Amino acid sequence: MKRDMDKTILITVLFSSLFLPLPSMATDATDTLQQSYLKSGSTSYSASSGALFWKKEINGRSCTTCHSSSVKTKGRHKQTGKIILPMAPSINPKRLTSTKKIEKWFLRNCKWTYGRTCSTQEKGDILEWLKHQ
Amino acid sequence: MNKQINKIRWGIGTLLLGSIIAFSFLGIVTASGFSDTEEGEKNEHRGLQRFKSQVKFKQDSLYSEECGACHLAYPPGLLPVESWQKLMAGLDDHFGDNAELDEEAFTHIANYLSQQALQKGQSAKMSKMLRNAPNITPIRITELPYFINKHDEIPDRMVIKNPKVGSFSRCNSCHKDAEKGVFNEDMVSIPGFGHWDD
Repeated sequence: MKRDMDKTILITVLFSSLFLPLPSMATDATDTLQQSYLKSGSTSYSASSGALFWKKEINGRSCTTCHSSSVKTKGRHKQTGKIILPMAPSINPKRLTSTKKIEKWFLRNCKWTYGRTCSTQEKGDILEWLKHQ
Repeated sequence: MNKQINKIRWGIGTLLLGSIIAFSFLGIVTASGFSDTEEGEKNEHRGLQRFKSQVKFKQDSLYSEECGACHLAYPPGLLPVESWQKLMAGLDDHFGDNAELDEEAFTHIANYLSQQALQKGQSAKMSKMLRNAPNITPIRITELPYFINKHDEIPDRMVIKNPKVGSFSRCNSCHKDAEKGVFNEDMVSIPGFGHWDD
């Protein structure tokens, strides 16, 4: 009798868990994007190239200008002074959870920082590095 | 005869009393009508009628998210519609930044701004912001003569050279509830200097 009850509880818990909303994971969005970049010629991604690109400075500008020297700390918008929350998903789990947002900021920020759009290889490398931060 | 005189007396009395009531009522209405102008500001100190320098507007979550990501989501009522249109047409070079939006977000925000923009006659207080507006459509709130007039007594050391502020564009450094459209003078607090009173 007791065993039957335990079983029922277990089944109920397992069944209910199917309907729990899954937390958005950085990897879901980054995987989708990295997968889509492959279609435009990239073959694999390198976290170390991504880390280098993040710090690469052109005309006094780099990602770190606004995002601070560590992705685990807060940054500050160079022009407006507005606080930018940490980019590292380990500190800020909301980061890298929306493909739309990732692409929007790549577009805006690559243009500001480097005066051009970033290649799919560059974006894939950055994501490869940033998603594990 | 007496009856007739009495009737006339009543008539005059009613007329006089009626006009007194009517005029005082008119007075109250007119006085409250002025509450949106300088009178209101004076009354504030007398504690009669608290005037609030508030830009009333409808909040929009997409506007707050998209524009508020980099800076204060400025209350749309701080610029006329022509200014917003000009600004939206140049988002690829938005004061030196790229602020491009996808088509859907662009349409939504452009519509929102046109609906909530500063308009002539919406309120006496706000209409003043349009006074002496330059012919060239300004896209900076800080370029409106009304803005300049309201801030011209503030020395550089308190804003531009103040490391905690840095620019007049950062309204919320001193107007804590700027995002909600609250710009009351008695609520101004300049970082490092405190309450401002002119």
